[in-house]
Amino acid sequence: MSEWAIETCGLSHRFTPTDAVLQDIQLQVPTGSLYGFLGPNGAGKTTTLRLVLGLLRCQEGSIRVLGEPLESRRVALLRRIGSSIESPSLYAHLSSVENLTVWQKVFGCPARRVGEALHQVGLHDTGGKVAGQFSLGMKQRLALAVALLHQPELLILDEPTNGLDPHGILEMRDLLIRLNRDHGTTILVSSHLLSEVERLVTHVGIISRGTLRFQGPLASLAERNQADRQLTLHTSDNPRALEILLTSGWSARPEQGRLFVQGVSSIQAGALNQQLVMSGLTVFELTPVGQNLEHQFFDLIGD
Amino acid sequence: MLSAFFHSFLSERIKLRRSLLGWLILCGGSFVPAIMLAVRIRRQQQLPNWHRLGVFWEKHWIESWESISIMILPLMVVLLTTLILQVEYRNNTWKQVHASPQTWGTIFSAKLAVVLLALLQLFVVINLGLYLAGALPSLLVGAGGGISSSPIPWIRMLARDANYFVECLPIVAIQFLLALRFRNFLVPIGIGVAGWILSLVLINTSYNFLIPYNYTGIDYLISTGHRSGQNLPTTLGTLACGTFAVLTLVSYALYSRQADKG
Ligand SMILES: Nc1ncnc2c1ncn2[C@@H]1O[C@H](COP(=O)(O)OP(=O)(O)OP(=O)(O)O)[C@@H](O)[C@H]1O
Ligand SMILES: [Mg+2]
Repeated sequence: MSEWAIETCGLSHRFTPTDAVLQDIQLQVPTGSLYGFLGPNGAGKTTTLRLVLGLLRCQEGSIRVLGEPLESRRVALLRRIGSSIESPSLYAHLSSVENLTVWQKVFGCPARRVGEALHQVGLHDTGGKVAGQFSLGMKQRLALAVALLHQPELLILDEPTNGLDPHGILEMRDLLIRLNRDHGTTILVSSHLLSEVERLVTHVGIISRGTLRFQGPLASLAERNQADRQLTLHTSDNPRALEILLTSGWSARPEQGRLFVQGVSSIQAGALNQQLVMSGLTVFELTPVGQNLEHQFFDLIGD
Repeated sequence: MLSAFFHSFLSERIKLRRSLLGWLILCGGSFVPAIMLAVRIRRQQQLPNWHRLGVFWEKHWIESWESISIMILPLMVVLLTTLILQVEYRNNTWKQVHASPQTWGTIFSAKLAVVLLALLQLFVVINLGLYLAGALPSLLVGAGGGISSSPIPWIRMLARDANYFVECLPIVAIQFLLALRFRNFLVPIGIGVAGWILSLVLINTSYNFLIPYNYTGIDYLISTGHRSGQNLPTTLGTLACGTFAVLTLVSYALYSRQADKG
């Protein structure tokens, strides 16, 4: 088995000659990982995924999927990939079973998979409703069932939680984790929000304005820029604390009844606290900011 | 490869369940037979004379096919082809189709086969309808002494049907190309109707074969002796097959090379 389930090399794309939508994307999705592909609106997530599925002709760079070149092995590879791109692709005039049967015929998988897939996504009881009458969440689930139908090795899901209620998001997360753990399915999910996939993914790739800003295990995202942490302080005597901090060379300023200190790593935060306490101050509050992943994320997608 | 085609074909057929296609075929196919039926019932006093004719069925067929060949077939092909291909654009499902493990050739040919099957079904409805339109009046109103005993010219009728079917193929190819290409279904329908009108304008000129939207109508006029057909460079069947083959190849080339597949 190859190391990467998806590997792109120097992938660039432009819809019009003037503006490059993707520039030199080196996507590396480890086999067996749960990969979060993150970026704001218009970053190029969908475009990247469409290229990986062969829905857009590759203009520049190369794409390998499951260890094989996409261009020459497209049909054989698609047999091993399940996907849902952008809005759910469903036949609005067909029921959930009929929608799945359309794909069951194409993939030639056993008919029992239709019921199983519906069960997996919690959509076994839609009565006589056709997909056009489904709620957005139900449509997302059915689209997921379509992607799961043929038990693919690689799942590519573009914003699968879009339109799901909190309960639905939890269920989706559990389902994806189970697929990943029990069947070893490699899963790529795209999202706007890190917080949405933070508890799901093992790896992240962060894209903004067509360039990949970060890629690696989730843990390494948290470790990034250790030195560049900030914290807010609240003590029994803030003006005096500010004086102490400034004289010891910290860059600090008062802000909304608190003190705001910049460039403090977690070890330094301890020393700083000790220094204040030794000076006879009581520290009510010492809150690191910018230490959470969301801050790292916004830091990365900004310019 | 054949099994991939067959599976794809089955999947395409499922997509058309509960769609308007069945109704369209039924209504479009029985439109002229229904009018014939109404006319016969209204002029029931003429039924005995009619039925006594040795060529009742033949005359019935020829009369009915005039509007079928000139109007119904071209317009129905335009509608059927557009409706069948529209299913992917309307539901935004091209991306799912193109991300499924099928070659462009399989997808293209399965869709084309579904269109041709629908056309075949239309012919079946028309023929059954015409038979009923000929048989029912006397049974319904009790005049004319039952179904006419004049011989039904089966072989000739089937041969005519086969000709008409082949002559519809150029329209299938043009509409297939357009409906694959344009998201907005008004484009293929608009061009189709315009092409048909243009073909009507030209039908009595010697350039009538240049717009391949009415080979069925031209064939009707020739077979009923209204036109000689001497202006045609070759037979209508050859013209139709050639146009179909060329346009289908063009259509496939355009489709398979499309850079953006949904
Ligand atoms: N068919 C197209 N023609 C022209 N430009 C396009 C096309 N599709 C996408 N783009 C442009 O490419 C850029 C990236 O779009 P893309 O859909 O990949 O973003 P995204 O990251 O998926 O955003 P979102 O989170 O909103 O789904 C956008 O600026 C968009 O306008
Ligand atoms: Mg998108």
